[in-house]
Amino acid sequence: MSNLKLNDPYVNFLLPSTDGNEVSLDMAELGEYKLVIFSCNHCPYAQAWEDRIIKIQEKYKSNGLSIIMISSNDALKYPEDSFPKMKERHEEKGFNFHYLFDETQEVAKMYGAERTPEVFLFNEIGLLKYQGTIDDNYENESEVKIKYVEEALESLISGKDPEITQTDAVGCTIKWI
Amino acid sequence: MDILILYNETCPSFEPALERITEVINDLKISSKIESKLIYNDSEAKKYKFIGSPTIFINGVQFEEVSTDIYRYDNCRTFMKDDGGLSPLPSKKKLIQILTDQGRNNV
Repeated sequence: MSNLKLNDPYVNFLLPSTDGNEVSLDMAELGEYKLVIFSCNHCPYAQAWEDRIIKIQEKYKSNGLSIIMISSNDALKYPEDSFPKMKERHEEKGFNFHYLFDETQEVAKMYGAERTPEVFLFNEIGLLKYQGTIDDNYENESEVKIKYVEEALESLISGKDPEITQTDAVGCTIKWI
Repeated sequence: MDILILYNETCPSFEPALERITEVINDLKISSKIESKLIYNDSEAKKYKFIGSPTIFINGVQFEEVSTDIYRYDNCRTFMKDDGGLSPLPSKKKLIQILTDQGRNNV
């Protein structure tokens, strides 16, 4: 269960990005809708959704969506999730969004994230409007019945609150230090 | 046929994997014994060659064997999909193939 509750404002942070910059949610160049995703390199659930996350960013870029993906895993126990390996993944997959390293795990704790992937969608004034999983089928994109994130985004874009505001995040646990 | 499934409590893959294996066994009408074991810590993971949940042994042979010396009790296992992608669950097609082959060997 998230520490952030529905309609809470986002908690800001400043984290290093795999593109060499530092990223804060307050940056003006980010879009009006912010989708914070706790994820990582090694988890098969995170891997299963990676291509769909890229597609979501592409599809909703013109609507003002900025995806900010964060890895908070213990990189000593899981060296696949180290910052250099994150940079490699960014290159390999051609991520069209920021991929940030939360080395101290403070951001994951502030948000109350527990799984990878786990998403937090904020509206145009920075209030949490959806938290949970991306869609209802991690294994097979063609068999997805409910696209939770996209449905929530469509609602926000049309000026409404999402009908579904929370789902259980399905994935690996965040690997705490 | 003996099937052993090693799993942990942190990864949600065990139950859907067990369901898939059971479905394939029932479809193939294979006589089998399925056992499962919960892995609690890294030393147990090393002892049982647990590379992530679920780690599956069919007649003592690891399904989609991975050569590694890294054993972490809280890891989720990654499998190859038929289309080359990655999945937390074993491919049904591969399960059918391996269980059919093993079934023939058991005759």
